[in-house]
Amino acid sequence: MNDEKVYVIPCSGIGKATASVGRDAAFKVVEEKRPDTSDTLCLSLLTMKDADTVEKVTGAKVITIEGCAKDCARKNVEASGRAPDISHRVHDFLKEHRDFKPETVLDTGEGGRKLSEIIAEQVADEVDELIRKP
Amino acid sequence: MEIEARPTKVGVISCSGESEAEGTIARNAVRLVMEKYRPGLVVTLCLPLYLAGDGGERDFAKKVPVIAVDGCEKTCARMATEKYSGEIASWIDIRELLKQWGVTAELSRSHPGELERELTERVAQEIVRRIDRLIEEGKVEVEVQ
Amino acid sequence: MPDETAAENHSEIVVLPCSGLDKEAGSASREIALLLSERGVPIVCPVLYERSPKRYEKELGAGRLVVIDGCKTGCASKLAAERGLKVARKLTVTEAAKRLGIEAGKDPHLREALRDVLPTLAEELLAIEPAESPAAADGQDPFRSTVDYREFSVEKFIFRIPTSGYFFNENDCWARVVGGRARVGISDYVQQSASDMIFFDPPEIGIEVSIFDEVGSLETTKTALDIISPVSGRVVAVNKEVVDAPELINEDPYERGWAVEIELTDLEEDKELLMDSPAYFDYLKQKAEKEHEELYGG
Repeated sequence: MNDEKVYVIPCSGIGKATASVGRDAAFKVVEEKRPDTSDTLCLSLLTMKDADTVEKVTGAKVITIEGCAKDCARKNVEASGRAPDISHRVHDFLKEHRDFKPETVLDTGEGGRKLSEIIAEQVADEVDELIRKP
Repeated sequence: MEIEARPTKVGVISCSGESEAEGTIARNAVRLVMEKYRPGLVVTLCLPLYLAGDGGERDFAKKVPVIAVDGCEKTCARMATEKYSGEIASWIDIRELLKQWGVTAELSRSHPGELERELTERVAQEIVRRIDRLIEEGKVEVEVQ
Repeated sequence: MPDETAAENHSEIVVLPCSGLDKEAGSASREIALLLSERGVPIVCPVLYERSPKRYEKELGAGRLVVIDGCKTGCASKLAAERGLKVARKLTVTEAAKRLGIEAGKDPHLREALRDVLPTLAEELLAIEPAESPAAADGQDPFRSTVDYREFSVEKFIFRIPTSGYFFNENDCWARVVGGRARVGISDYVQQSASDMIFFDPPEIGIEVSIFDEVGSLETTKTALDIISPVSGRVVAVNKEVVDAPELINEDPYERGWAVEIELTDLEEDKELLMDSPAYFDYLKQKAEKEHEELYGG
């Protein structure tokens, strides 16, 4: 069991630039902003009930970041037997930051990078809150 | 796998690739093939959507030859395809490729630099070779560009 | 009759005053209704409505009902209740006048003190929120019936089209017709092509539109597009749920994701330029197969 880290899991969809934004945001959180208190993992491993992955996540808090309204990250986490503690959609952030529309899947552009940063900031704060919670 | 007689598309599925840099290379290489090297021929299959069972990914993958591209030994893309749609037509193990190419440097999953971009191109070319082989074998009905 | 030269049109509201003739408050009720009618609000005559309910079926189906009672006897409210009408707002003149420090008298002639405040009371009634969708006279959503779908796939994408009750234009916008109204939205094909909706800018309620006019615009993570009306008429409602959560269009483009409701003016003529569901199915299948390569690159 590992309750020392919060897992930030992006959907990692390959079809939409917003999925790349979510993925980049997750990396920012776990590598730059909260490297000691957060980590990420492959959604597919959780869904396919990989033993190592399930062990990591058992008892830990989870934040998902969705690239679109299909909510694959949340659904796949739920399929593993638990719900995420917090779930975000990139396009909800885009509604508030209309100018930061991402460009392409391979290169989200300046707007996309800024959006990733905004999402990462919020998620980093949420990591702190979740860590404090019992 | 119920491949239709002479499908005109090739499905390519990449692992999600969060854990390792090879996963990022897998995703980006697949995307490069779809956008630049074989546009109109390749349909990318979205692994999270595939696993969630949403959309037409699983059914589509039953009708066309599928190339799975995995970044690590967990082989998520391959396993998911075989579980939900059937046998894959070809499989690429990025780690094996990097080993063959003598790549030992530590790679970044989140900030791909020049080396990562170069490797992504090489992997994309490998995917293209596999696609072209499928065409030569008559498993896909298209004209090679 | 609403004043057709009025600058405003508040026909999304309909007013049912009481018919009190023996007190000042009754006269005030009638006077407020007349002030509202000058702003485009249809009046329901309570006496006529009592005798011939069908006479006002159209008006009551189109607007949110405002009831004006002269006094606590509440004749207009009782009439509305007897007919099963949903009341959006109610005004009791004696109560409202008291609030303003005025005592309504027993004499039916309007005195200056009360007459002076009637425009204020009328204005308060106009401030009720526009309908999300005006309910039918029976209070039920006329668009509630089940929709059946037919689908086809292009590569991994599955596109759905309702089997009946909808008309489509070549801009892939649909109109779902029930009675004298239509709800308008975009097709499943468009919502999938355009990607995730992030904004919906609706048209103004009350505007007249012709077939092929724009009735709102959408912005997605990928592009911006206009909703091109398949029908002519007057905009009577916008879908507030979609204004607040445009992704509803992605989730349910033909039912919950409707954008605008239009009171029709010439459906038969409009239909000559539209496709019904079977025709649209064939049209879209050809179009999607041809266009898909360009849109998705494979």
